[in-house]
Amino acid sequence: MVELLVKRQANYINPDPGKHKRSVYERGDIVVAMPDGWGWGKEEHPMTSTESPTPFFIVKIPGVTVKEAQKYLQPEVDDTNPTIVLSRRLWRINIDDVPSGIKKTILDTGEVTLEFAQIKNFIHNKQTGINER
Amino acid sequence: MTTTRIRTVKATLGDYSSLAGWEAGEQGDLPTLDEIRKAECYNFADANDVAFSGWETDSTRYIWVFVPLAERHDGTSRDVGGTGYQISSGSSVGTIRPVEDYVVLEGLNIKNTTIDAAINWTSGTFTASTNSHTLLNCIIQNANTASTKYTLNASISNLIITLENCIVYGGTRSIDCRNATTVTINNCTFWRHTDQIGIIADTELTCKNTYAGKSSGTNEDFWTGGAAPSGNNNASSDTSAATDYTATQTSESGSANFINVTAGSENFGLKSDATIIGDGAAGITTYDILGTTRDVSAPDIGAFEYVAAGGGRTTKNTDAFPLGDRYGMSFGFRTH
Repeated sequence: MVELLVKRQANYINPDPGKHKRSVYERGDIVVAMPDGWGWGKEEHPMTSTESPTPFFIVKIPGVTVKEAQKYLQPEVDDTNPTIVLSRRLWRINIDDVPSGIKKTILDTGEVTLEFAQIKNFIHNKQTGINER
Repeated sequence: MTTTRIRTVKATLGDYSSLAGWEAGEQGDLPTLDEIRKAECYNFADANDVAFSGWETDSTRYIWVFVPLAERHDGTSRDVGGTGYQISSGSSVGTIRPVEDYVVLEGLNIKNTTIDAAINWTSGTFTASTNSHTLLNCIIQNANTASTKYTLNASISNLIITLENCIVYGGTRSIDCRNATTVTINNCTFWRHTDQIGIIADTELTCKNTYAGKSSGTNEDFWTGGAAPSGNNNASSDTSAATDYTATQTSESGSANFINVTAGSENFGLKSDATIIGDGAAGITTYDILGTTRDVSAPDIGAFEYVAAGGGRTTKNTDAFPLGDRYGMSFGFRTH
Protein backbone atom coordinates (compact mmCIF):
# COMPACT_ATOMS: atom_id res chain seq x y z
CA MET A 1 0.00 0.00 0.00
CA VAL A 2 1.13 3.52 -0.69
CA GLU A 3 0.34 6.57 1.39
CA LEU A 4 0.19 9.88 -0.45
CA LEU A 5 0.78 13.28 1.14
CA VAL A 6 -1.59 15.59 -0.70
CA LYS A 7 -1.64 19.38 -0.55
CA ARG A 8 -4.92 20.72 0.79
CA GLN A 9 -4.41 24.20 -0.61
CA ALA A 10 -1.64 26.54 -1.72
CA ASN A 11 0.24 28.11 1.19
CA TYR A 12 -0.02 31.56 -0.36
CA ILE A 13 -0.49 33.40 -3.60
CA ASN A 14 2.82 34.44 -5.08
CA PRO A 15 2.62 38.01 -6.44
CA ASP A 16 4.05 36.80 -9.75
CA PRO A 17 1.27 34.73 -11.39
CA GLY A 18 3.75 32.98 -13.66
CA LYS A 19 5.94 31.98 -10.76
CA HIS A 20 2.91 30.93 -8.75
CA LYS A 21 1.70 28.56 -11.45
CA ARG A 22 5.19 27.22 -12.04
CA SER A 23 6.34 26.61 -8.52
CA VAL A 24 3.77 26.89 -5.73
CA TYR A 25 2.08 23.66 -4.64
CA GLU A 26 -1.64 23.78 -5.36
CA ARG A 27 -4.71 22.05 -3.97
CA GLY A 28 -4.61 18.36 -4.80
CA ASP A 29 -0.89 18.17 -5.69
CA ILE A 30 0.72 14.97 -4.44
CA VAL A 31 3.91 15.86 -2.56
CA VAL A 32 5.44 12.52 -1.56
CA ALA A 33 4.56 8.83 -1.74
CA MET A 34 5.48 6.68 1.26
CA PRO A 35 5.03 3.02 2.20
CA ASP A 36 2.22 1.61 4.28
CA GLY A 37 2.31 2.60 7.93
CA TRP A 38 4.49 5.65 7.35
CA GLY A 39 5.08 7.77 10.42
CA TRP A 40 3.86 11.11 9.20
CA GLY A 41 5.15 14.23 10.88
CA LYS A 42 3.01 16.37 13.13
CA GLU A 43 2.53 19.07 10.50
CA GLU A 44 1.82 16.53 7.78
CA HIS A 45 -1.21 14.95 9.40
CA PRO A 46 -4.27 17.16 9.76
CA MET A 47 -5.14 15.67 13.14
CA THR A 48 -1.86 16.83 14.68
CA SER A 49 -0.97 19.88 12.61
CA THR A 50 -0.72 23.20 14.40
CA GLU A 51 -1.48 25.08 11.20
CA SER A 52 -4.87 26.43 10.33
CA PRO A 53 -5.98 25.53 7.80
CA THR A 54 -3.95 22.33 7.80
CA PRO A 55 -1.65 22.04 4.79
CA PHE A 56 -2.15 18.39 3.81
CA PHE A 57 -4.32 15.31 3.89
CA ILE A 58 -3.33 11.69 3.37
CA VAL A 59 -4.67 9.19 0.87
CA LYS A 60 -3.90 5.50 1.42
CA ILE A 61 -4.27 3.21 -1.57
CA PRO A 62 -3.98 -0.56 -1.04
CA GLY A 63 -2.62 -2.44 -4.03
CA VAL A 64 -0.51 0.43 -5.33
CA THR A 65 3.21 0.43 -4.58
CA VAL A 66 5.39 3.42 -3.77
CA LYS A 67 7.24 2.81 -7.03
CA GLU A 68 4.01 2.85 -9.02
CA ALA A 69 2.94 6.06 -7.30
CA GLN A 70 6.19 7.84 -8.20
CA LYS A 71 4.61 8.88 -11.50
CA TYR A 72 2.30 11.22 -9.59
CA LEU A 73 5.30 13.13 -8.26
CA GLN A 74 6.53 14.23 -11.68
CA PRO A 75 6.41 17.93 -12.45
CA GLU A 76 4.35 19.22 -15.33
CA VAL A 77 6.90 20.12 -18.01
CA ASP A 78 6.79 21.70 -21.43
CA ASP A 79 6.17 19.08 -24.13
CA THR A 80 8.73 20.62 -26.45
CA ASN A 81 11.35 21.39 -23.81
CA PRO A 82 11.20 19.11 -20.75
CA THR A 83 13.63 21.32 -18.82
CA ILE A 84 10.90 23.97 -18.57
CA VAL A 85 8.71 23.27 -15.53
CA LEU A 86 5.10 24.43 -15.92
CA SER A 87 3.89 23.40 -12.47
CA ARG A 88 5.08 21.43 -9.46
CA ARG A 89 3.05 18.36 -10.31
CA LEU A 90 1.61 16.92 -13.51
CA TRP A 91 -1.09 15.06 -11.59
CA ARG A 92 -3.46 16.24 -8.91
CA ILE A 93 -6.29 14.72 -6.95
CA ASN A 94 -9.49 16.61 -7.67
CA ILE A 95 -10.58 16.83 -4.07
CA ASP A 96 -13.65 18.86 -4.82
CA ASP A 97 -15.00 16.23 -7.18
CA VAL A 98 -14.75 13.21 -4.90
CA PRO A 99 -18.02 11.78 -3.52
CA SER A 100 -19.27 13.62 -0.47
CA GLY A 101 -18.77 10.63 1.82
CA ILE A 102 -15.08 10.42 0.96
CA LYS A 103 -14.70 14.16 1.28
CA LYS A 104 -16.31 14.05 4.70
CA THR A 105 -13.90 11.31 5.82
CA ILE A 106 -10.99 13.44 4.67
CA LEU A 107 -12.31 16.49 6.48
CA ASP A 108 -13.16 14.55 9.64
CA THR A 109 -10.04 12.41 9.97
CA GLY A 110 -7.44 13.96 7.68
CA GLU A 111 -6.94 10.71 5.85
CA VAL A 112 -8.82 8.25 3.72
CA THR A 113 -8.18 4.70 2.54
CA LEU A 114 -9.45 3.99 -0.96
CA GLU A 115 -9.07 1.25 -3.52
CA PHE A 116 -7.39 2.48 -6.66
CA ALA A 117 -10.65 1.94 -8.54
CA GLN A 118 -12.34 4.40 -6.17
CA ILE A 119 -9.80 7.18 -6.53
CA LYS A 120 -8.46 6.84 -10.07
CA ASN A 121 -11.26 8.83 -11.65
CA PHE A 122 -10.25 11.79 -9.48
CA ILE A 123 -6.51 11.65 -10.24
CA HIS A 124 -6.25 14.23 -12.95
CA ASN A 125 -3.53 14.82 -15.54
CA LYS A 126 -3.22 18.62 -15.82
CA GLN A 127 -1.65 18.48 -19.26
CA THR A 128 -4.02 16.10 -21.02
CA GLY A 129 -7.06 17.00 -18.94
CA ILE A 130 -7.77 13.27 -18.65
CA ASN A 131 -8.26 11.40 -15.40
CA GLU A 132 -6.25 8.33 -14.49
CA ARG A 133 -7.56 5.07 -15.97
CA MET B 1 11.99 41.94 13.75
CA THR B 2 12.84 38.88 11.71
CA THR B 3 12.06 35.61 13.44
CA THR B 4 13.34 32.12 12.67
CA ARG B 5 10.62 29.51 12.32
CA ILE B 6 12.11 26.09 13.00
CA ARG B 7 10.41 22.84 12.05
CA THR B 8 12.01 19.44 12.52
CA VAL B 9 12.43 16.78 9.85
CA LYS B 10 12.69 13.37 11.51
CA ALA B 11 12.07 9.73 10.70
CA THR B 12 9.50 9.61 13.51
CA LEU B 13 7.79 12.12 15.78
CA GLY B 14 9.02 15.21 13.98
CA ASP B 15 7.10 18.05 12.40
CA TYR B 16 7.82 16.58 8.96
CA SER B 17 9.01 13.16 7.84
CA SER B 18 10.86 14.34 4.73
CA LEU B 19 12.53 17.51 3.54
CA ALA B 20 10.17 17.44 0.54
CA GLY B 21 7.24 17.54 2.95
CA TRP B 22 8.84 20.43 4.82
CA GLU B 23 9.36 22.33 1.59
CA ALA B 24 5.73 21.87 0.57
CA GLY B 25 4.40 22.73 4.01
CA GLU B 26 6.61 25.74 4.68
CA GLN B 27 6.68 27.31 1.21
CA GLY B 28 5.99 31.01 1.60
CA ASP B 29 6.80 34.67 1.02
CA LEU B 30 9.49 35.06 3.67
CA PRO B 31 10.11 38.81 3.34
CA THR B 32 6.38 39.45 3.84
CA LEU B 33 6.28 37.01 6.74
CA ASP B 34 9.54 38.51 8.00
CA GLU B 35 10.82 35.01 8.70
CA ILE B 36 13.76 32.76 8.15
CA ARG B 37 12.38 29.26 7.69
CA LYS B 38 14.68 26.59 9.02
CA ALA B 39 14.41 22.85 8.53
CA GLU B 40 16.19 21.10 11.37
CA CYS B 41 16.98 17.66 10.00
CA TYR B 42 17.74 14.68 12.22
CA ASN B 43 19.71 11.48 11.81
CA PHE B 44 17.92 9.39 9.17
CA ALA B 45 17.89 8.50 5.46
CA ASP B 46 15.44 10.68 3.53
CA ALA B 47 14.70 9.16 0.11
CA ASN B 48 12.85 12.06 -1.52
CA ASP B 49 14.44 14.63 -3.81
CA VAL B 50 13.43 18.23 -3.28
CA ALA B 51 13.27 21.53 -5.16
CA PHE B 52 13.31 24.77 -3.20
CA SER B 53 10.91 26.53 -5.50
CA GLY B 54 7.89 28.79 -5.16
CA TRP B 55 9.25 30.85 -2.27
CA GLU B 56 10.12 34.50 -1.92
CA THR B 57 13.41 35.12 -0.12
CA ASP B 58 15.89 37.90 0.48
CA SER B 59 19.23 38.29 2.21
CA THR B 60 17.71 38.40 5.70
CA ARG B 61 14.70 36.09 5.20
CA TYR B 62 15.82 32.86 3.60
CA ILE B 63 15.57 29.06 3.39
CA TRP B 64 17.89 27.33 5.84
CA VAL B 65 18.33 23.55 5.96
CA PHE B 66 20.40 22.59 8.96
CA VAL B 67 21.53 19.39 10.66
CA PRO B 68 22.42 19.79 14.37
CA LEU B 69 25.88 18.52 15.27
CA ALA B 70 24.56 15.56 17.26
CA GLU B 71 22.47 14.45 14.26
CA ARG B 72 25.08 15.09 11.61
CA HIS B 73 27.42 12.89 9.58
CA ASP B 74 30.70 11.91 11.22
CA GLY B 75 32.76 13.33 8.37
CA THR B 76 31.89 10.40 6.14
CA SER B 77 28.80 9.59 4.11
CA ARG B 78 25.93 7.87 5.91
CA ASP B 79 26.73 4.96 3.57
CA VAL B 80 30.11 4.62 5.28
CA GLY B 81 29.66 5.93 8.80
CA GLY B 82 26.04 4.85 9.23
CA THR B 83 25.01 8.11 10.80
CA GLY B 84 23.75 11.56 9.93
CA TYR B 85 20.96 13.05 7.88
CA GLN B 86 21.24 11.88 4.28
CA ILE B 87 18.96 12.98 1.47
CA SER B 88 19.27 10.58 -1.41
CA SER B 89 17.51 10.01 -4.72
CA GLY B 90 18.06 8.87 -8.27
CA SER B 91 16.49 12.00 -9.69
CA SER B 92 17.74 12.80 -13.18
CA VAL B 93 17.35 16.51 -12.45
CA GLY B 94 19.21 16.49 -9.14
CA THR B 95 18.53 15.40 -5.57
CA ILE B 96 18.41 19.01 -4.34
CA ARG B 97 17.42 21.82 -6.67
CA PRO B 98 17.79 25.25 -5.09
CA VAL B 99 15.76 27.48 -7.37
CA GLU B 100 15.20 30.48 -5.08
CA ASP B 101 17.66 33.30 -4.45
CA TYR B 102 18.70 32.69 -0.84
CA VAL B 103 19.36 29.18 0.44
CA VAL B 104 21.70 27.80 3.12
CA LEU B 105 22.48 24.08 3.42
CA GLU B 106 24.47 23.09 6.48
CA GLY B 107 25.65 19.68 7.67
CA LEU B 108 23.77 17.53 5.15
CA ASN B 109 24.84 14.40 3.32
CA ILE B 110 23.40 14.86 -0.18
CA LYS B 111 23.51 11.95 -2.57
CA ASN B 112 22.41 11.05 -6.05
CA THR B 113 22.38 7.29 -6.54
CA THR B 114 23.05 7.68 -10.27
CA ILE B 115 25.49 9.71 -12.36
CA ASP B 116 23.19 12.73 -12.12
CA ALA B 117 23.73 15.76 -9.92
CA ALA B 118 23.43 15.70 -6.16
CA ILE B 119 22.75 19.44 -6.33
CA ASN B 120 21.58 21.11 -9.51
CA TRP B 121 21.06 24.85 -9.71
CA THR B 122 20.49 24.99 -13.45
CA SER B 123 16.69 24.98 -13.38
CA GLY B 124 16.75 28.24 -11.41
CA THR B 125 16.48 31.84 -12.52
CA PHE B 126 18.58 33.90 -10.15
CA THR B 127 18.38 37.63 -9.58
CA ALA B 128 21.56 39.42 -10.61
CA SER B 129 23.75 40.45 -7.66
CA THR B 130 21.09 39.58 -5.09
CA ASN B 131 21.26 35.87 -4.47
CA SER B 132 23.36 33.69 -2.21
CA HIS B 133 23.65 29.92 -1.94
CA THR B 134 25.78 28.68 0.91
CA LEU B 135 26.87 25.09 1.52
CA LEU B 136 28.64 24.44 4.80
CA ASN B 137 30.04 21.20 6.15
CA CYS B 138 28.18 19.02 3.66
CA ILE B 139 29.11 15.67 2.13
CA ILE B 140 27.94 15.55 -1.47
CA GLN B 141 28.18 12.46 -3.63
CA ASN B 142 26.89 10.58 -6.64
CA ALA B 143 27.43 7.13 -8.09
CA ASN B 144 30.87 5.67 -8.64
CA THR B 145 30.29 5.46 -12.38
CA ALA B 146 32.27 7.37 -14.98
CA SER B 147 30.36 10.14 -16.69
CA THR B 148 30.89 13.66 -17.94
CA LYS B 149 27.91 14.81 -15.89
CA TYR B 150 28.51 16.76 -12.65
CA THR B 151 28.08 16.06 -8.95
CA LEU B 152 27.42 19.79 -8.56
CA ASN B 153 25.86 21.47 -11.57
CA ALA B 154 26.17 25.20 -10.96
CA SER B 155 26.67 26.60 -14.45
CA ILE B 156 23.81 29.08 -14.55
CA SER B 157 23.84 32.84 -14.98
CA ASN B 158 23.82 35.22 -11.98
CA LEU B 159 24.35 32.42 -9.46
CA ILE B 160 26.42 33.26 -6.39
CA ILE B 161 27.54 30.29 -4.30
CA THR B 162 29.89 29.58 -1.44
CA LEU B 163 31.15 26.12 -0.53
CA GLU B 164 33.01 25.76 2.72
CA ASN B 165 34.31 22.61 4.40
CA CYS B 166 32.45 20.39 1.95
CA ILE B 167 33.44 16.99 0.58
CA VAL B 168 32.37 16.23 -2.98
CA TYR B 169 32.96 12.83 -4.56
CA GLY B 170 31.68 10.30 -7.06
CA GLY B 171 32.35 8.98 -10.53
CA THR B 172 31.47 12.06 -12.53
CA ARG B 173 33.03 15.46 -12.98
CA SER B 174 32.92 17.33 -9.67
CA ILE B 175 31.51 20.77 -10.45
CA ASP B 176 30.82 23.06 -13.37
CA CYS B 177 30.24 26.69 -12.44
CA ARG B 178 31.36 28.48 -15.59
CA ASN B 179 28.21 30.52 -16.17
CA ALA B 180 27.80 31.50 -12.53
CA THR B 181 28.69 35.02 -11.39
CA THR B 182 30.63 34.42 -8.19
CA VAL B 183 31.77 31.11 -6.77
CA THR B 184 33.81 30.83 -3.58
CA ILE B 185 35.27 27.47 -2.59
CA ASN B 186 37.18 27.33 0.68
CA ASN B 187 38.65 24.28 2.40
CA CYS B 188 36.80 21.69 0.36
CA THR B 189 37.85 18.22 -0.75
CA PHE B 190 36.93 16.98 -4.23
CA TRP B 191 37.53 13.39 -5.26
CA ARG B 192 36.70 11.38 -8.38
CA HIS B 193 36.81 7.62 -8.43
CA THR B 194 37.10 7.70 -12.21
CA ASP B 195 39.18 9.59 -14.74
CA GLN B 196 36.99 12.67 -15.11
CA ILE B 197 37.70 16.39 -14.88
CA GLY B 198 37.32 17.84 -11.38
CA ILE B 199 36.60 21.55 -10.95
CA ILE B 200 35.52 23.28 -14.14
CA ALA B 201 35.51 27.03 -13.70
CA ASP B 202 36.48 30.32 -15.26
CA THR B 203 37.04 33.71 -13.63
CA GLU B 204 33.94 33.45 -11.44
CA LEU B 205 35.78 31.10 -9.09
CA THR B 206 37.96 32.00 -6.14
CA CYS B 207 39.29 28.82 -4.63
CA LYS B 208 41.44 28.50 -1.52
CA ASN B 209 42.77 25.73 0.71
CA THR B 210 41.01 23.16 -1.46
CA TYR B 211 42.07 19.71 -2.59
CA ALA B 212 41.01 18.13 -5.90
CA GLY B 213 42.13 14.67 -6.84
CA LYS B 214 41.25 11.42 -8.56
CA SER B 215 42.14 7.76 -8.32
CA SER B 216 44.02 7.65 -11.61
CA GLY B 217 44.03 8.99 -15.14
CA THR B 218 44.88 12.12 -17.06
CA ASN B 219 41.83 14.41 -16.82
CA GLU B 220 42.67 17.55 -14.88
CA ASP B 221 41.75 18.01 -11.21
CA PHE B 222 41.51 21.78 -11.77
CA TRP B 223 40.49 22.32 -15.37
CA THR B 224 42.82 24.77 -17.08
CA GLY B 225 41.01 25.11 -20.37
CA GLY B 226 39.17 28.36 -19.73
CA ALA B 227 39.75 31.86 -18.40
CA ALA B 228 41.77 31.57 -15.23
CA PRO B 229 40.06 31.47 -11.84
CA SER B 230 41.86 32.94 -8.84
CA GLY B 231 42.92 31.62 -5.47
CA ASN B 232 45.76 30.07 -3.59
CA ASN B 233 46.97 27.23 -1.39
CA ASN B 234 45.15 24.52 -3.31
CA ALA B 235 46.39 20.99 -3.91
CA SER B 236 45.85 18.46 -6.66
CA SER B 237 46.72 14.86 -7.36
CA ASP B 238 48.11 15.97 -10.71
CA THR B 239 49.93 19.21 -11.53
CA SER B 240 46.89 21.26 -12.51
CA ALA B 241 46.65 23.22 -9.23
CA ALA B 242 49.79 25.08 -10.21
CA THR B 243 48.41 26.54 -13.42
CA ASP B 244 45.91 29.09 -12.07
CA TYR B 245 46.68 29.31 -8.38
CA THR B 246 49.57 30.44 -6.22
CA ALA B 247 51.23 28.64 -3.32
CA THR B 248 49.93 25.29 -4.51
CA GLN B 249 50.79 21.68 -3.79
CA THR B 250 50.86 19.29 -6.74
CA SER B 251 51.10 15.53 -7.20
CA GLU B 252 49.42 15.02 -3.85
CA SER B 253 47.89 11.57 -4.13
CA GLY B 254 44.67 10.76 -2.34
CA SER B 255 45.99 7.55 -0.84
CA ALA B 256 48.96 9.37 0.68
CA ASN B 257 46.86 12.07 2.29
CA PHE B 258 43.47 10.64 3.18
CA ILE B 259 42.42 7.82 5.47
CA ASN B 260 40.53 5.94 2.77
CA VAL B 261 39.81 6.79 -0.86
CA THR B 262 38.37 3.39 -1.78
CA ALA B 263 34.90 3.62 -3.32
CA GLY B 264 32.34 2.67 -0.72
CA SER B 265 34.70 3.27 2.20
CA GLU B 266 35.57 6.93 1.65
CA ASN B 267 37.07 8.80 4.58
CA PHE B 268 38.72 12.07 3.68
CA GLY B 269 40.11 12.66 7.13
CA LEU B 270 43.83 13.39 6.97
CA LYS B 271 46.44 10.76 7.71
CA SER B 272 48.95 11.69 10.37
CA ASP B 273 51.65 11.97 7.73
CA ALA B 274 49.52 13.73 5.12
CA THR B 275 51.62 16.21 3.23
CA ILE B 276 48.81 18.75 2.86
CA ILE B 277 48.70 19.28 6.64
CA GLY B 278 49.64 22.85 7.43
CA ASP B 279 49.70 23.91 3.78
CA GLY B 280 46.59 26.08 3.82
CA ALA B 281 46.47 29.86 3.93
CA ALA B 282 45.58 31.43 7.28
CA GLY B 283 42.26 33.14 7.92
CA ILE B 284 40.14 31.38 5.30
CA THR B 285 37.95 29.22 7.57
CA THR B 286 37.82 29.10 11.36
CA TYR B 287 36.49 25.55 11.77
CA ASP B 288 36.61 22.32 9.79
CA ILE B 289 33.75 20.07 8.62
CA LEU B 290 33.35 18.56 12.11
CA GLY B 291 33.69 21.85 13.95
CA THR B 292 37.33 21.44 14.89
CA THR B 293 39.10 24.76 15.33
CA ARG B 294 41.59 25.23 12.54
CA ASP B 295 45.22 26.07 13.17
CA VAL B 296 45.34 29.84 13.11
CA SER B 297 48.65 30.27 11.32
CA ALA B 298 48.97 27.08 9.24
CA PRO B 299 45.61 25.37 8.65
CA ASP B 300 45.30 22.23 6.58
CA ILE B 301 44.08 21.93 3.00
CA GLY B 302 40.70 20.28 2.49
CA ALA B 303 37.58 19.82 4.59
CA PHE B 304 39.33 18.34 7.63
CA GLU B 305 41.79 19.81 10.10
CA TYR B 306 44.09 17.08 11.32
CA VAL B 307 43.76 16.18 14.98
CA ALA B 308 46.53 14.09 16.51
CA ALA B 309 45.49 10.95 18.37
CA GLY B 310 44.31 11.93 21.82
CA GLY B 311 44.36 15.55 20.85
CA GLY B 312 40.63 15.93 21.05
CA ARG B 313 38.53 18.32 19.04
CA THR B 314 37.38 21.78 19.90
CA THR B 315 33.91 21.99 18.49
CA LYS B 316 31.79 25.00 17.94
CA ASN B 317 28.16 25.56 18.79
CA THR B 318 26.80 25.85 15.28
CA ASP B 319 23.63 27.58 16.49
CA ALA B 320 25.85 30.55 17.19
CA PHE B 321 27.65 30.26 13.88
CA PRO B 322 27.82 33.81 12.54
CA LEU B 323 26.41 33.12 9.12
CA GLY B 324 25.13 36.64 8.78
CA ASP B 325 28.49 38.22 9.31
CA ARG B 326 30.16 35.96 6.82
CA TYR B 327 27.69 35.60 4.00
CA GLY B 328 25.68 38.79 4.08
CA MET B 329 22.70 36.94 5.56
CA SER B 330 21.44 37.63 9.04
CA PHE B 331 19.97 35.64 11.90
CA GLY B 332 16.72 36.34 13.68
CA PHE B 333 15.15 34.91 16.80
CA ARG B 334 13.72 31.41 16.75
CA THR B 335 10.08 30.62 17.21
CA HIS B 336 8.38 27.29 17.47
